[in-house]
Amino acid sequence: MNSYTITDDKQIDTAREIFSDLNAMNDVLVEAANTGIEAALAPAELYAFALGTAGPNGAKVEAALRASAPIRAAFQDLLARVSEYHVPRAMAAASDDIAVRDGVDCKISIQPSQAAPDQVYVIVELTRASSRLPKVMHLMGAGNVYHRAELPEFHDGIAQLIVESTSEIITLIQHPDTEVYLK
Amino acid sequence: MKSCAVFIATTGGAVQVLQITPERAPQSMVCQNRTTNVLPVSPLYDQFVKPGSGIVEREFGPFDNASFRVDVSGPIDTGNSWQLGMFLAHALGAAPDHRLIEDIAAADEILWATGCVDYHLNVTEVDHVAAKIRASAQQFQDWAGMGKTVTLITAAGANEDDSRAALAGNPVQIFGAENAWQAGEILGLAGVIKSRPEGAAAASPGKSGSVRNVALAALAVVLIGGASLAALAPEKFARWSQRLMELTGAPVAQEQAAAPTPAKTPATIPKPAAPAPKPTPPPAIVVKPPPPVAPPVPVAKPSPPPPRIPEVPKISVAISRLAPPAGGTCMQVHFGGADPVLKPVAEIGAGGHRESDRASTCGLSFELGGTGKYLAVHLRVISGRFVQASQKPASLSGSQPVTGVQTWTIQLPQKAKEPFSYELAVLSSDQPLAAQLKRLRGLENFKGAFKELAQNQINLVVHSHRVSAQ
Amino acid sequence: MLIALDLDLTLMDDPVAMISRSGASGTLIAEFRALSDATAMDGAPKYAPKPVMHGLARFITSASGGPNKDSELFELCHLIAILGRLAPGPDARAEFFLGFSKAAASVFRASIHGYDGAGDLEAITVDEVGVGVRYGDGEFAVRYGRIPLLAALYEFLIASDGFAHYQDINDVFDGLGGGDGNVRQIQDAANALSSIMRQYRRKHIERAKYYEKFNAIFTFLRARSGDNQIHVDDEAVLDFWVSSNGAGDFRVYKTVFEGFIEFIKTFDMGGRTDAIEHSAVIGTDFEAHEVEPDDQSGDIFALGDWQSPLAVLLQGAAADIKFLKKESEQKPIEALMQYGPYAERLAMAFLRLESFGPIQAGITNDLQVKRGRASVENRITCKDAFEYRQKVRDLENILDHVKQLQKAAYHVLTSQPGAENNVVSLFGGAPETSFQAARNNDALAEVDASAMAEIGAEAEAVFRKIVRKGFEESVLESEDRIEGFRVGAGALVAMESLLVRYIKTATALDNAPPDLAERFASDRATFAARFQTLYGEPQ
Repeated sequence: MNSYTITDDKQIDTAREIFSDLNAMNDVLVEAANTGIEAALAPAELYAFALGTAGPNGAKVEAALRASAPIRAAFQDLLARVSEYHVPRAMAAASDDIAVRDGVDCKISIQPSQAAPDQVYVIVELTRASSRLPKVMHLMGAGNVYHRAELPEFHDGIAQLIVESTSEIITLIQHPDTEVYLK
Repeated sequence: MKSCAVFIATTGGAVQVLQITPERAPQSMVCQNRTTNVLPVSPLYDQFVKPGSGIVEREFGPFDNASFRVDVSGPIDTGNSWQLGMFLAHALGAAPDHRLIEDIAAADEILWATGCVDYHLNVTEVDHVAAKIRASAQQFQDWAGMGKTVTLITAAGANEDDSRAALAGNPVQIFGAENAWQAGEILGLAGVIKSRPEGAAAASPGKSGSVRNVALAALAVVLIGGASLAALAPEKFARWSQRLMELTGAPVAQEQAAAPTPAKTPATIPKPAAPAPKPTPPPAIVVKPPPPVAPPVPVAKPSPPPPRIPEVPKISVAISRLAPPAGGTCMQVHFGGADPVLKPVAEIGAGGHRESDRASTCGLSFELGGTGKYLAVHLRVISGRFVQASQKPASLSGSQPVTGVQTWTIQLPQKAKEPFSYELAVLSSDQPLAAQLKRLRGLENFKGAFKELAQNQINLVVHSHRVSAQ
Repeated sequence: MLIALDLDLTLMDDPVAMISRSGASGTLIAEFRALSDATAMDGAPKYAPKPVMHGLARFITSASGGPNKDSELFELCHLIAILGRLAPGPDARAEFFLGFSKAAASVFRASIHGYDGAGDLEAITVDEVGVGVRYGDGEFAVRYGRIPLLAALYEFLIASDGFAHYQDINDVFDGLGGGDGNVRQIQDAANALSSIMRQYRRKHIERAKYYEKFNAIFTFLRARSGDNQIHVDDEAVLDFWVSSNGAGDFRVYKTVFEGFIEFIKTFDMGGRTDAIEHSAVIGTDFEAHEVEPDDQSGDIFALGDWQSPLAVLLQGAAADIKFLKKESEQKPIEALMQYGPYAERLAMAFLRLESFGPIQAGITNDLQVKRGRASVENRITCKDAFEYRQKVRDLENILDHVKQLQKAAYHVLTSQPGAENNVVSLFGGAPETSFQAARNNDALAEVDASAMAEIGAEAEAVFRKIVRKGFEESVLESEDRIEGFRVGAGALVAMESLLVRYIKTATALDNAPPDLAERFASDRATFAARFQTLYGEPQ
């Protein structure tokens, strides 16, 4: 029952490859079930994060975004696909002190607080009505920078935050290379 | 310049209003201790300030700035009971001879307030007043130790009674206010509040601030409307008369035997007087209302009263849209059990309202009130259609007496080729209105109806509004 | 399960810090785990371990065999092209492949049915079984049951190598969205993805150790056989183990046994010209096993990819029914069910594994936890090894129980109103005839009405006698439980067949000299001697 005729070296080479494939498959299944190797980031986790529904995996995703340029690039692609609003890079001639970023159907502006000189308002304004109001602002900066800020509820098309003037969100908004996605 | 430190009562202790700063940002915010920690009540405060939905800009504006930032000393998480304190804090800012102060040691007076203030400036009752007072017990003690004058203002009625009971033996001055104007008057700020009850003499807003003039205006209110007011609420009427007497020194003859009180100079806020005897268990409050009185008798007036003209009842109309909750849809509101969010529709001009977006308008809510005994409403559709998910309340048919504000809600279809444009005609009168309503329904337009109805002491207001197509 | 080996580990140029013990790199394991560890909202695996993750592992390692190793890529590209027509929009693909909680055929079916005609539907057909597309030069259909695997493949691909290929792969997929596509374009796209996968495999699978293993076994077998034949039999397994130098992979008998089974599978697969695309046709759970209702499965042992029927009983709809008690009924047949027909083809080698494998595992464990020489020496003697005849008796007892379970399942499935017309046939035909045929593993036979009634009464009686979870009277009212019995019925048939065949083989061995008792005595001496060499104290 277990007898085989050997015809040529090609048959043996083929058998060797098949044997290697089968063993590799077994090893993958066994190792994945038993090893201490940590699971990598799955695209579905990245997608959920882009939608604002990351849940307990949020910290893992944020860490991966900070550490990996390809993951950031993939994330930015997903954001571009799912976001309702996008603020592209500012014009090259713009100065670094940007107070207003214009996007398609949206605008983000910075207003210093009179009450607290070290604080600023970030005003997110939607100029197109939508039934799905964004909940998260994703800032994709040049280099290794990613920042996420939850948006408060919109009232009459405006969501307003107040942050420290030295915060990363301000630095990113004011940098012309930063792209912003609202989801 | 009189300095006042303002505290808002919470069940976690009194929270001080540290500062109110005009800002150029579009939305007003409440922050904690000058940090970026925005408190959950911020959206409500923003609505409270904005014209259309709120009263701050209406009463103290117009402002050059777009918004305000209020910094408070502690958390204010939920509810609307902060409104009275916040309103008075704004009034302090608007009054040229008053100011809001953070340094308690330097304050001339400390205000502790709890109460809601509605669109019509009524101060309405709130919950947990006794608990809030208990939570502030240490603060009351500290202020008394500093020799500070402490004024506590709540809504008149049960809240005031609870306050008196909770602070028996405490030197805090306790007041119950029926409306924000009265509350402002306690602090000498009524002159900066634009809206005032019918008949009150208008003080130059923020210019003279004469307590005596204001008090006389208030007195006129009492005198003109006093009889009917007294008939309705003799205890409250007598309480206010006593207060006015103390403020102005005016010899207002009371129908009851009032406690003798030393005459006061008009421009000064009276110091707390000795307790007056009271048949009911007396709270040991210095300024006390006199005991309940017998049926009213005419009061002596300084001058002959003006001829009484039959008045047309007042009508209040507030239109709100039912919006889906954040992240939700109208489908979920109509069929999924999601609770809609009420968002007032701003009024622009007499009876006109800002257009609403169909996508975020699942329905409309009309809050209607009238000072007449009967109320009727007719919704005339100019274009589009609405869904009457439940019957129009019988109280809006004009055939039964009503008290208080009546609410009627309609739903809107989510897909509509044309906008929903309508006029809301509201009638108020002391006589039944069923026949008038029927007549009104048959009219092509309401223009000709106003004068005729007014001649019969029927008030008619018409509001118009539009929800876009989708 | 593989026992931990003291291997010389090969370090590959791999960014993942943890060293893998196998030929697969740490990156590959981590990226595989990203999907195998993913859970749905109810905590169950997002992708079913079998057949989806199993199928993905097979794809990643090219273990599908045959000339079309990457045929799944071809399917995936068709599915992407179909989606591009059904749901145009920049986010539709991401939503379809990444926006679900559980990868079930029903979920994808609902998604596809939910596209409301915004796209180009002229060339698309959507029905209850799957979705099809018509091109100018051909057509293709994707069954909903295949989509869970294709979704796992999509997710694995775009995340491979730390998302390094994300944009390239997306560019390939973006090119498939147009309405004027053809099969040639699909093929080109699949080839582009295949190229990426080839690079990935080269980078992340170290095959040297597998080649060495193959060469060792092949050389050994070649030397034992004459001419151009090689024979893989029980004695070859034992002799190979005994004669190995005791280092590396071949120290452990179980590893040798499994190596020989892989060797047999290899040569079985090498003789086939078609790609192995069949998932295990075990049970009738459409969600997990993609079985076509009209599949004539024939001889299930002909497949090169056996999967344990115990897995069917322990997952999904059947999991809520206590078909088998864990210690006394499941554990004794676990290994047999795992190796399936290969246990029968190396029946004696399997018996040796069952008897002496646990002893070697005990010795290894004693050494790892430093339990002391006394325990090791005691185990080396093999005096506690299970006798072969006892093992066969245990299997016979469990076979009896499996037959009873089949009757009970029959009762449940035929007790529904209209069941006589609606019972899903495992092999086609009327329920009684197919069930009878399945029991006897015979061709379909005529069964008359009185025989049918007798069978029914017997089944009901058996059902009522079983006092276990899932065998209450109320299950007849529960759709979920009935489904569990339907799924379990197929697994029970497969289990019975295997048990019958193995017991038959073992009995035949016992009936010829040397019988099983003599073989046991001889093997015990052999194993004890070998254990002494491997683990005994140096003399």
